[in-house]
Amino acid sequence: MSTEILESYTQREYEWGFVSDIEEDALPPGLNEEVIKAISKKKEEPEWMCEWRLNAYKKWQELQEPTWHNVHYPKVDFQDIVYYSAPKQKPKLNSLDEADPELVRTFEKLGIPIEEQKALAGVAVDAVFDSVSVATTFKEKLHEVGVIFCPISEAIRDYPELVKKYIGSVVPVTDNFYASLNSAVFTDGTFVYIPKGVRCPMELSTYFRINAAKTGQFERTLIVADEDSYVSYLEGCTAPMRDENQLHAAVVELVAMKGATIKYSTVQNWYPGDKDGKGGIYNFVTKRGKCDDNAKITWTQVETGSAITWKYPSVILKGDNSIGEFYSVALTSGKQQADTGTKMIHIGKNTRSTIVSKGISAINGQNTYRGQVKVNAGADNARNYSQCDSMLMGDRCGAHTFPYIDVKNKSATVEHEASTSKIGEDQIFYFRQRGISAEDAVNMIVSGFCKEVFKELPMEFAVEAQKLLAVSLEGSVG
Amino acid sequence: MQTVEKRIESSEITNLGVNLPNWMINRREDALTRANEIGLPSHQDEEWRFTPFRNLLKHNCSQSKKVSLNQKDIEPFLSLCSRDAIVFVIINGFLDESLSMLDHGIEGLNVFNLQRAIKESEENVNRVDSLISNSKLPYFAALNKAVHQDAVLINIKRNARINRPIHLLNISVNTSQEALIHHPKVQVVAEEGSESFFLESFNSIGDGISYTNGVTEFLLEKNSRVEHVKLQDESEENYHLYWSNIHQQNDSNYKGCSITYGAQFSRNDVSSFLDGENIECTLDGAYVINGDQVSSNHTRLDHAKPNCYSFQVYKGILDDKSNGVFNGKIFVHEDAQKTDAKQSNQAILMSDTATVHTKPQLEIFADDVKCTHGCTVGEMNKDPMFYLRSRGVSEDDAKALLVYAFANEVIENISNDYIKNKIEEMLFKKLKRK
Repeated sequence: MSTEILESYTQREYEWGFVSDIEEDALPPGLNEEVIKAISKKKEEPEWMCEWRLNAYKKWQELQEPTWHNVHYPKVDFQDIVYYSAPKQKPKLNSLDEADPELVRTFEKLGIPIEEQKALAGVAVDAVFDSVSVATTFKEKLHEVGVIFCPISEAIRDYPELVKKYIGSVVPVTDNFYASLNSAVFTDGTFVYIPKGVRCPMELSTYFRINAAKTGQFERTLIVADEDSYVSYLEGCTAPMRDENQLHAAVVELVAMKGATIKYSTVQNWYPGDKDGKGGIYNFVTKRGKCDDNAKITWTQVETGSAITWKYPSVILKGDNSIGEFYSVALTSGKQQADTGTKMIHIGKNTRSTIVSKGISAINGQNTYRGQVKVNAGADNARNYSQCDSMLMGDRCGAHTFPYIDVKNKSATVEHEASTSKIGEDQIFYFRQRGISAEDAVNMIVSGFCKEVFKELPMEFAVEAQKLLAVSLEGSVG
Repeated sequence: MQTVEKRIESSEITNLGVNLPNWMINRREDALTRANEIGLPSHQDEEWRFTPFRNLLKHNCSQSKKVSLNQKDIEPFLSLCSRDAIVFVIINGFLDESLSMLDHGIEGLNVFNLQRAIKESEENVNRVDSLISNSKLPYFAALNKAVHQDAVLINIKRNARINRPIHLLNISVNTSQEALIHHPKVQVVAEEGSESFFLESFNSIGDGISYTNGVTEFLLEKNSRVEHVKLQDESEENYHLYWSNIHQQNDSNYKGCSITYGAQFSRNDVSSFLDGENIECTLDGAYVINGDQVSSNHTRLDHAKPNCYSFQVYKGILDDKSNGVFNGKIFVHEDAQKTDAKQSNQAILMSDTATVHTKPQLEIFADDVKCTHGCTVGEMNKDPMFYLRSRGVSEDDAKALLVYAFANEVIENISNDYIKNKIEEMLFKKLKRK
């Protein structure tokens, strides 16, 4: 491949980089107990929630920022971050017509046709603009079957027993540095509850978007699937161009009770910084699910954005016969760095897990797969299959694989496979010969490489994900 | 802090009764500083995170003294290698001149102890010694460098083909109550176009607790070939630490195989730096452990230049409460295009209480490479077991046969038939030992 095409391909500008002009209602930068109390008050939270936050803040102060990961970035000044910002108008809307026209325009630029989606896909979109949810649709339809799908701040007010019971049950406040920080300062997020035996009638989806400069976004998502229920949740994000690094430390907790199934899909496209590595989002996410007997959790992620990604969606296979799956495509281009993977903790008998990870590195991107498969002594007949493949484009990028495999049970079968490859000149030649441009050829090869993961995504996401990859790879062919 | 070795005085480093050149004294002192800086392993240290080393730090050892053995004592170990072997006996880290075949009369093979090496081949000692800087040494290798009292320097001359196996017979002797540590050191310079085969065996005599802290270094010049079988069968009271560093130049071929049967605790660190083109490097290994044994195996391959091949197959067989660790690192540097690196690691758990941690690790900085690693952990396949049992083979025999078949993928690659058969024989014995 010629370097030229590669370069023109990876250097495509970030399409979604613009700032929408909406007045901000923000706290001054910095973190202390007062800020946490103020957030809690602004959110009209009950006393116990405020204490839970303060407890997390105390724990956070005792924790050290992790350094073991394979990513490098300037130290984050946690006192220089605005921990709360919300669009000033805080409309509670039934339809988009009532929304701030500026906001609607922003969504249109982003290509999120809420109206269309409503009609076409039957997807309820709970669009999170900065930290407050502004438009919630299809709520009534969900209400009919008893599904709760609302911003977590609302859930704290309206369903305190449920939130109190499950929040922090999968990712405890002491879990890690960023999870503790999130527990102390999270401003919004999503709460989903699927009652016993209910199959959620539609895909649930939320779009996140970081808007105000210097605003760290701390999302908190809690999904509880009661016995024998089913839910598929989609999360997608884009963010505008920024010079200063922005911190994003989300926590996602999934609780799958007996026989429940949760599918959690993510397309992440935060601003990755410019081609010199300036700006870009720091994405430090803690995602974990817990499976009871016969439950199943599937994580699917397509990570194309962020300057730094630090993310390990995990499954604790506590119940017998439970299943954990992880499908991931992570792309690092420019100066992006990603350290991502999964943890599968086998505790129950006959538990199964599958890991398929595809890493693509281009230009100066550094891509790390870090995964752990742990089989405890009691996990008879546990089964794991892991596959991590890397693709490199260019000679200044890197692919790293750190799989940890710990087995304490002899009846367990654990397999791990990894390979590294590049796009062959012969492959490109084959395409070119048939009149297909090098760029399209690379797109096709890459989407073929990632096919196993894309097929796990819900339809509309699969399309978007392929587009995203193509955009992110622009300039890396050559 | 607990210590493995009693406090080391800097005078001990330099007063060996041998006239050490200044550069060596400096480097030894520097290595001691390095060792003290890093300190003993801790679980915070990624390199030691999964290795259960608590017992390793239980004893406070003194350095072993020079002891002499007679021909009868070493007879059982001589059978490890075929009769045509050129044997060098290293007792507690000292090359025993009376038991070793120093007058082997083979052209192109020079073997010296530390004293003679400095006198007759100082340049080669320095060359091997400076292959890796002290600042990169892990604790035990730095300790070895600082305090080793004798060393064996082997020089295979240019274009020499040594067609008899060279047997480096290490014996740790401790009959006292006190725990003793010794630091055997071997340095090999395989000159351009040479060919040689090494069997490096580690054995022990006596009921006392011995720590072997061995370091073996190879420098393979252009177009040279070395096959190196390391066989560790020390007593199950012993602690075995082994660090091997291989440096390869253009077109050289190193084929290593590390077999672990003995010692209650063993840790092997083998690394190879492929500093040239068209190099082939094989790092194979098998560990067969039971009881409370711990075996921790670590490999590191650095592909620094284009067009090199590396192969690794590591097999673990773990029974009872044994604990196995494998960490294989492959680094493909920025310029190392067309690298082909393969690694595979498999472990069989024979009991419910055995544990295995494995971490195959790839770090790739070049785009036109083929790198694969795979690893599996599981119990023995039930179907072949049933097949054998249905033909009247006893359960123990069937088990042994299947384990043998499993481990054989590593063992069968050894080119010397005598040694291969010996290692197989020991495998059967080990499997039936309990």
